[in-house]
Amino acid sequence: MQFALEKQIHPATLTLLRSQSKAKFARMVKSFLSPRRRWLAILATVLGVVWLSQLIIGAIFRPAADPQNLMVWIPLTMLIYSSWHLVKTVAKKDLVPFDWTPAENELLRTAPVTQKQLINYRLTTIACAGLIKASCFCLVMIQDLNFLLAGFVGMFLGLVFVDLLRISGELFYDALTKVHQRIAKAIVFSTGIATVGIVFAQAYLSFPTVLPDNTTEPIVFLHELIKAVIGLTSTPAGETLLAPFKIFASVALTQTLGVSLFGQLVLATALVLVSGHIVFGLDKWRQIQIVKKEKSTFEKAVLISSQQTDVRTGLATKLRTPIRMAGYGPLVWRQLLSVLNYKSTLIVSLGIPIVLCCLPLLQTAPQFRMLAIIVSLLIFYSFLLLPAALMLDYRRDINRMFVFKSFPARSLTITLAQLTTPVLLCTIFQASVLLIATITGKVVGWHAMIAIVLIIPINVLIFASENLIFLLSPYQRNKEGVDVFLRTILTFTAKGIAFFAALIAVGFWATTCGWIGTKLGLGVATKSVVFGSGIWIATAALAIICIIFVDRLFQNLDPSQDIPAES
Amino acid sequence: MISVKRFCKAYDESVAVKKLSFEVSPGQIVGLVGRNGAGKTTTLKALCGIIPASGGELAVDGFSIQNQPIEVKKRTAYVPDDPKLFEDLTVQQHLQFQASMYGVDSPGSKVDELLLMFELQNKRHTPASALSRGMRQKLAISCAYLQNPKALLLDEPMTGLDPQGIRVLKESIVEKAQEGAAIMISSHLLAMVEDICTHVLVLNLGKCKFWGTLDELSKKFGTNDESSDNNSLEDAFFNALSDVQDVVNDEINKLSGV
Repeated sequence: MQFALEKQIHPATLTLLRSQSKAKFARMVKSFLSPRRRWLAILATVLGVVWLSQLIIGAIFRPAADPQNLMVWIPLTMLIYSSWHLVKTVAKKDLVPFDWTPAENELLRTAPVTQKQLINYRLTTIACAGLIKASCFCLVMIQDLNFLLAGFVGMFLGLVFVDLLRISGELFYDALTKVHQRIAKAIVFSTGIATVGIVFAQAYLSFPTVLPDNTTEPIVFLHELIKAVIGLTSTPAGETLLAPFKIFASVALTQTLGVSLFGQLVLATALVLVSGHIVFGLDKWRQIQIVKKEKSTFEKAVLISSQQTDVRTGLATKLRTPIRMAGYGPLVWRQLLSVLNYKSTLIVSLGIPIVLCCLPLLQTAPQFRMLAIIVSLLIFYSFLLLPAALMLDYRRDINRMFVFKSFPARSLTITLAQLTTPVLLCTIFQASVLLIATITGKVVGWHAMIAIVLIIPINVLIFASENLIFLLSPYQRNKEGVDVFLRTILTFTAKGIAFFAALIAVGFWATTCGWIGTKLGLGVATKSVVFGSGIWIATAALAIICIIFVDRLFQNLDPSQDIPAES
Repeated sequence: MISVKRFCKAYDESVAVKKLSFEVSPGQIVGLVGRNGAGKTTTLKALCGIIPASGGELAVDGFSIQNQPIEVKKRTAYVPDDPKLFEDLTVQQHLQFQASMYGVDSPGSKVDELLLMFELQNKRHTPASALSRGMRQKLAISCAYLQNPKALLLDEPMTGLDPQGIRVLKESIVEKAQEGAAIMISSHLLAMVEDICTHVLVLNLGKCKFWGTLDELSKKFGTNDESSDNNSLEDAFFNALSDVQDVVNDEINKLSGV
């Protein structure tokens, strides 16, 4: 029995899993208690208390959601999440199925462990993460679940199924030849664009001619969009795609304990087991395909190398270098080179927010109001989505911090250079949307140009604050685990509080402007100019303060102590 | 050229280097040797301003790293034991970047020379992510050489290099010293230290165990037997750290019950 189990999961991998979990926890606690981060630890504790209270209050006091709605939304969310992973898989430049960490690659994959044991190890880590996620789901959905255990099991199986689908997609895509990969990419992208197009067209066509009371065009349009998405789920294609996910939702949201639940549970378990077997099968097939691909690559390389004769070709005696500008030039230049390397990924990442920001253009509204709507949306999406999409700053250079520290340039110059590219890309994204708005005649050209100038300090603030958070507590990208989960939660809570505080400040300033304006007998236009200038100056001042703090943190960063290990 | 006075460095509760003092003049090549965790890399990193010192004074060419870090960095080149290159940049782009960052005028011919010297000419347009360990090391060394530094700090520079690469590097280090650079090499390859270094700094647990020329080291810790073949740096090194080794041996004997 024990031998049979060892054939499936190597005991050393289980030991590794246990040790890693313990070590991660210990590292987290050590980092939390470090005297260097005393203030950050206090802040994290306060934010943690705020988040937990909010979670508990939300979970206990909110009314239960409509079960029928949940039966639609839970499977739909799982489907959208799986589709997103598929898009990411085909768009990724260096796809590595199973996401092996450097340590796992060097130590585990070279150890006398079978491929089956390796995959089982990875699936165990996925299952462990699934347990935590399912527990969180039960906590948040406590009001909607009739049977907590059924909710937990249903969601756990569903999450594992979604991960197995993701891995299957990665394995399949990785095994394809370059030509087939291009075809698969085209199919995925065209299907995605077609689906989004259908949803938008449906929403546009069904948009009411007369708006209901107390609503605005974007809100009504958003409702129409949601209706169009739900409408798609009732088409034969939608029904088929959602069918497996509905099984997990049925288990999680079951109304009664009985034969029906038992049947669904068996079905859900069978689905997970079959998907697991598919992963193993796909991995075997991939190994064979990789050998074939290697042979073909070798033949091509031999052919190319036989054509290379002169090793001295391409001398660069007149080599041009980027303008120094006290060290700012080369740093920005190398970031822009990276942008060129990742242009397709960036286009995909920015494409979605561009589409979302262009939504209001489908409606009719006065030009100035349209500008206000679009600018608000641009700021909102820049704040929400772009920091994760444009990591071309300190966050991407965590393992090169000591290189930056050795450069003969002022720390402020390095900081400004690191922030330039994401701010520039963010501004280009916003300018693209405003350009579309201008071309379609919904916004006046010079209004759009002024708007761009006014938005720039906000962009600087967004990326400076993101780097500030990062340098306060540096982390390795592409990592998963409880610490990343906690970090994300705490950061979002902090951002939420900051956003709320900013709204209060704006409201206070608006009231003050109104009061002063009335006292001085100013007109509405003058009051608006005073209000706008105040907001712009405050944002610019905040951005500068943020940059100064980022610079201070970079100066005080000790790469030997502050940079977490890569694996 | 390189001046270190009472340098101290602590990580949280552990002391990495304690009151270390030495000076390296132009043309000198100093071999920094010691056991793992002796403080070699910490010293080199502090000298080029990567990590802050907990105490003491560090200076290059008369400029203090604490007060004039940029002047020090302009004159210093550091090659780490595991170079972290910009993965998206090609070999040539790395050199372009370095030339711009350190203000090297018309670097074209120098770039060609370095690429030929370290056999990277065929990899000119290859991104760093596609380079082997040895190639990455060669690129890091090329970047360091491009700026013609007055102080050259090399941390395990032979790691991953092929025999030809090792020979070229050794010759080039001697050449750089002859041109007037002050060089510090941290290495466990004692034969290499013996081959090219003029001075040795033996570190143990962050403290200086020995500082002087190779001859002085042999005289102090060698076997004192001129005819003996074993009168090498390796013997002198072990003799210098004999008290530490004795403690380790005692512990091992205790554990194994001897």
